[in-house]
Amino acid sequence: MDYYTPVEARKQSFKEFMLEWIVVQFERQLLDLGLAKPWYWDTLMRDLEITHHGMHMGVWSWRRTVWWNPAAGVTPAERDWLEEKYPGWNRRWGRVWDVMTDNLLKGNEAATLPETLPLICHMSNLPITHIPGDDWDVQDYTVEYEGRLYHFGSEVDRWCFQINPDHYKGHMTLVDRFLAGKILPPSLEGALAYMGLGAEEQGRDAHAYAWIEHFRKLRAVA
Amino acid sequence: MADFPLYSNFQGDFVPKLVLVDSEDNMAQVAQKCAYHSIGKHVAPQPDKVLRVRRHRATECYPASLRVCDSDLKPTEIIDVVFADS
Repeated sequence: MDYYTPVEARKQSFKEFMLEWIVVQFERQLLDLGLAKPWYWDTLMRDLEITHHGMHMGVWSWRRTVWWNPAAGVTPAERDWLEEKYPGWNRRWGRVWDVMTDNLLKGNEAATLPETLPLICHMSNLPITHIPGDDWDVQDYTVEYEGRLYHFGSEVDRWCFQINPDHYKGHMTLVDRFLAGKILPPSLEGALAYMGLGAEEQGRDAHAYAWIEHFRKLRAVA
Repeated sequence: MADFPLYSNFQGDFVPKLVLVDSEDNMAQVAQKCAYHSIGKHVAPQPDKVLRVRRHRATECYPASLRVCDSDLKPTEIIDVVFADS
């Protein structure tokens, strides 16, 4: 909602949608049933403003590892919209987009394509992301169990593991398999081949980087 | 000498990244190997700063000359790489 929908067609942000259609109704049901909110309620509320921005940035950055073409959704107008809906967006996620945008303006697409793998949560199997930029605050929740380190993207993910570690302890994320020598060659190219993603299937920028021309025009005027 | 996988939680970046260092590398070398995957890619350079390494969420950084094999780090541990004045 915050990145793929054309800005002129957006009716509300992801956070606003979640609050109106999911959170309020869920909270009302809990109260009606006489149940307390779960202990991680505040974490959920906080993450509605944060987590999906990093997930989107990760999907776009590691676009070769997905089977669709992700739209960046960060033209100047879209960035203004994001700043309005998520005050502070520009000094947080905007800082990373600034670097990637500069690389594209210089014709350096290669610098926008990571050469390594991100840290993956051992519970959600999603990258562990949080706040970048000026307010940098990326936290990993680690557990050592039977001599192995497990990484989690939130205290909730870690809590799920700790309830029943023997159920989860054998799971190998893609990165674990990479480190165990099950992915050859041991490189991002090897990981793409392991996932069965050939050149035709790998995701590309949905608009072939046409969005950076907005920035080129702005800089030309300045 | 042996490969030593770490996760680089680089100041300003949005996601920790897998970095293979060598067990004989010192922390200055570790910082440079981590910087390769962040500076100029997801993080703007800060030429007037130096890079330091610390355990995740720790307040004290490791000495730059400390080798990985002589530290308390474990393979697949996450480290913070931060900009510092010295």
